[in-house]
Amino acid sequence: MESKWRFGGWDLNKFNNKFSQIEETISSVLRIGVYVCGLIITAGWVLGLCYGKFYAWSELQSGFESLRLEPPLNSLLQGLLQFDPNTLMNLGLMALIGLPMIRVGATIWLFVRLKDYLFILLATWVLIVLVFSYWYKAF
Amino acid sequence: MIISLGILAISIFAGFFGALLGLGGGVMLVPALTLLFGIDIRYAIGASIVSVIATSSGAAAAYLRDGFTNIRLAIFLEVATTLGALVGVVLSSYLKSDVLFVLFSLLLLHSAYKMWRSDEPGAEDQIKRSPSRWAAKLGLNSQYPDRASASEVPYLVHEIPIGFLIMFGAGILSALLGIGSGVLKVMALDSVMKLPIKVSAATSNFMIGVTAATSAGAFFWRGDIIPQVAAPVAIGVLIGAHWGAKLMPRISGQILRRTFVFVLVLIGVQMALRGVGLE
Repeated sequence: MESKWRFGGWDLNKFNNKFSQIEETISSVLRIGVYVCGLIITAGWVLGLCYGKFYAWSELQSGFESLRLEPPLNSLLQGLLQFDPNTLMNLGLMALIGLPMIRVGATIWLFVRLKDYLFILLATWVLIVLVFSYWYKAF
Repeated sequence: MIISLGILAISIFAGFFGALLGLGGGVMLVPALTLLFGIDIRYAIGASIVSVIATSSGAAAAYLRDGFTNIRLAIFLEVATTLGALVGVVLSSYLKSDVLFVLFSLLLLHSAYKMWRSDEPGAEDQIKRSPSRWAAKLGLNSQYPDRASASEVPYLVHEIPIGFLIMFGAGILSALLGIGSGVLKVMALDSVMKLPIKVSAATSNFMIGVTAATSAGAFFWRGDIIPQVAAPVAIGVLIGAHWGAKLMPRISGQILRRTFVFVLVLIGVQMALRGVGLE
């Protein structure tokens, strides 16, 4: 499908081909990211269901202050070595929450390829806020 | 096991509609997790944040590939949302959220009424309006694929400064009320900036993941995202979002718009009840 439009002072043909190629690359990166996160989370969830390594639901329903988890980063490596279901799920969730950062990062790359300096700046601002807000409570 | 599978089933449903309409799945998930499964509200909200990111990530790949997402507009408006979120964090210690819930619900119900009364402008009508100087300068006007005519349909983006301000407000509300602001984003993109509903849903989908990720880190490190609840939610939502994104290009904009209005009314009522303490 080819664009035949030029309107609003903006020639759609000018960027279309290059833009859609890069959009497709970003789309592929995202798809792989989603599959990897989904697989890790599913592996942990299935393991948890099989080995019964879950909290009792009654504890989850009562707010369970006593079971409040320690920051996952501290126990991540140890849990991974033990193939712990909760650690696997935490790792997958952590990666999933980080996916929007990859998305914005890929968008910056897109604008770099287009030499669109204003949008490089705007996307970088969004990425900085994202990275800061993701990590500032981690340690 | 049964509870886990129940959460998975509901999350598939939430992800499907979330991706289709450009909303996070939280609107459906939080009441389901708390009312049906009795899960503590903190963990329900934590899981709902994960669901927004999962919906957004699950659908974004498909919408980008199909050419529905306006990336430039999404990034431009995301600047406003992140600025708003930062202001919202500062304001949160001064404002009462009850009043905001009621005001927000009135805004949603009013918008639902307006959207119900007005049909989506056709492609010709859309580009007949005088083009926005800002949109042209920033290169925000674009096009999307239409299966029925097997061609690209061009569209203009209108009311850039007002749209930017609304997104700034959406960012403030996200931080103040702990809600995903997908509903406000679709509303602004559709009703104010006059984008076709499919582009609005896809662009909002791209944005909500980024907005949700700004608060998700805090939830995660605080221990409010419990893997036992969030994992089936994430898996279910990813599956549902995949199917929602597959269906969206095939259904008519009018049906999508009407479905959105229906969800808007539901959320409006839910917010009003929350505001008056009847949640």
